[in-house]
Order: sequence, then C-alpha cells, then structure tokens
Amino acid sequence: MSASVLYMSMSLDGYIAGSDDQPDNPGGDGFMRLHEWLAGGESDRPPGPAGEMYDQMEATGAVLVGRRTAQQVDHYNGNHHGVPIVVVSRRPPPGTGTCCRRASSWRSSG
Amino acid sequence: MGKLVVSEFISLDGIIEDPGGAEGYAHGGWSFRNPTPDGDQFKLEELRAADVLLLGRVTYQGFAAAWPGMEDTTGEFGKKMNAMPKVVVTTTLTEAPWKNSTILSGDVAAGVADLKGQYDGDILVYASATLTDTLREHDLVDEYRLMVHPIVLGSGKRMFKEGAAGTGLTLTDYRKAGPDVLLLTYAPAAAKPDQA
Repeated sequence: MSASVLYMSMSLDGYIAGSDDQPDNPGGDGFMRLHEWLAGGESDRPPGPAGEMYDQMEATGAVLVGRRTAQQVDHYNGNHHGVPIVVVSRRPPPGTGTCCRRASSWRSSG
Repeated sequence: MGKLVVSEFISLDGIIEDPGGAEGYAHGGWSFRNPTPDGDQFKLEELRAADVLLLGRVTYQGFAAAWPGMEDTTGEFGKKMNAMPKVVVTTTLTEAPWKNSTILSGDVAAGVADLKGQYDGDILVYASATLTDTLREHDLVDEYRLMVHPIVLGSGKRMFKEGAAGTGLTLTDYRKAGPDVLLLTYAPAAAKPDQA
C-alpha cells in the first residue's frame, strides 16, 4: 500500500498560486517567487536540500493532479518522470490528443 | 533603541487568534495541543529580554483577566508578565487595570516609534492580530517569531489579513519548539526589484 504525499510550495500567508492563474498564465501572477528555491527549475536537479526534495518527487510512482493544474502545465507534455499521471476531472480531456486515457481504462490496463 | 518583536503561536493555516483560550474563540487554547518543551524555554528567555509588552485591546483584556491569577503555576514567567510595563493600543478602553499598564490611543505609529526610543530592551507583541497588521503596514516590526503548530483551524483571525501588501522576509533562525512544532524567525527583507 503506497502513501499519498502532498507537495505544496506555499507562501508564509498560505498562498500556493498568484492571482489570475490560467493556462496562458500558469500559476498566476508572480508564481515563480514560490519556486525560486527550486533553483534548477522543474527539470534539472538543484543542489542542497532542494535537491533532496527533487529526489523525493522523482521517486514517486504516480502523479495525481487536479484538472486546473494539469491544464496550466499542459499535462506535463504527457511525461512526469515516466510515471502515470492521473488527472481528476469531470470533463473529457481537451482535443483528441494521445496524452490521456480515462482512469477506468488506465486502471484495467495497469 | 528597543527592537520590536512580534512573537506568535500560529496554526498551519495562518490563524493566530486566542492560542491560550482566554478570549472565548471557538478553537481557543489550541497552542496547548502539541507539547513545546524547547519552545517554552525560548519563550522564557524571550520574555527576559523584553522591557515592555505591546498589546492590542482584545489580547490585553484576555491577558489582564488571566495572568494575575497565574503566578503560582507559571513562576518567573507569570511574575514578569504581571510586573513589567504593558502598553495597550485601543480606541475604546479608558481604563487599563492590569498592573503597570498604559493606554496608547490616537497615532499608533508615532506612539510605537516613541516606545522604541524609550526602551533599550525588546518591545514584545503577543497575538494582537489587528495591531500586528497596523505595525506591519508602518514597517515597525523588526522581527517575527512564529511557532508553527501542526493544526488547521479553518477560521479565526489571521496573521496576514487578506489583501495585505506583499512583503519579503528573510529567515534568520529556525529550530524545533517541540516534536511537531517549528519555530521560525524572520526579519523584514529589503524589497527586491521584482517585489516592488
């Protein structure tokens, strides 16, 4: 039985995104201030404690994400360190791209 | 020149209301749910370094009702709380009966600036959510000490009210106050260009 781990980068007053977040403004205004600590960005391993955090995220076996976040990061281009990405949504995926399957089919095939 | 220190018990969702349970808030007393042996020692040393308490009216009234009867159970801490000078910021109180209290009404910023000149030791602020907002808006806070409890309260007065102007802080110290409680110390940071 795996554990679910919530990763949040949060300001001292409890914000996890800027205002006006949407697909053409991912994370909202000033969003990167919340992620400057992850100096290497989302793709390169940063040094120090941020690197340990990066390693923990890389060691996960699946990614569970809400629809809004998934859209704003373009569904991670279909690849988040090679593990299944599960998007919680009541809507069908946009377009007819090959990135996404319904969870039921993923579950039955997995 | 006294340093103004804002020292708060704070929930993970940013609530600072009534951690001690003296104000009748629905969740009052939440700071006692998790033990903080190292934090208690820190709080004693913090109080020893303070010359005066600066409090908002609500916090003051809760303290004034509670602390005079707590010297037997709290020892040195309670004795100093009762003996030391207290300044209560209020526009409604006309009397402040807790020992060694004075009332500050009118221009809070000017009054607090006077306090900084008057004392050499720390000017200590506990709780006082409304006053803390005012002090921050006037750049009068020299240090924040936040004891972060692993509790989500969901409602109550917040440390940083909605719509507060953005501000940058520098983490100057961190330690454990207890097994599940962190103590974070911040100083105001000089504004970076992208935070202006």
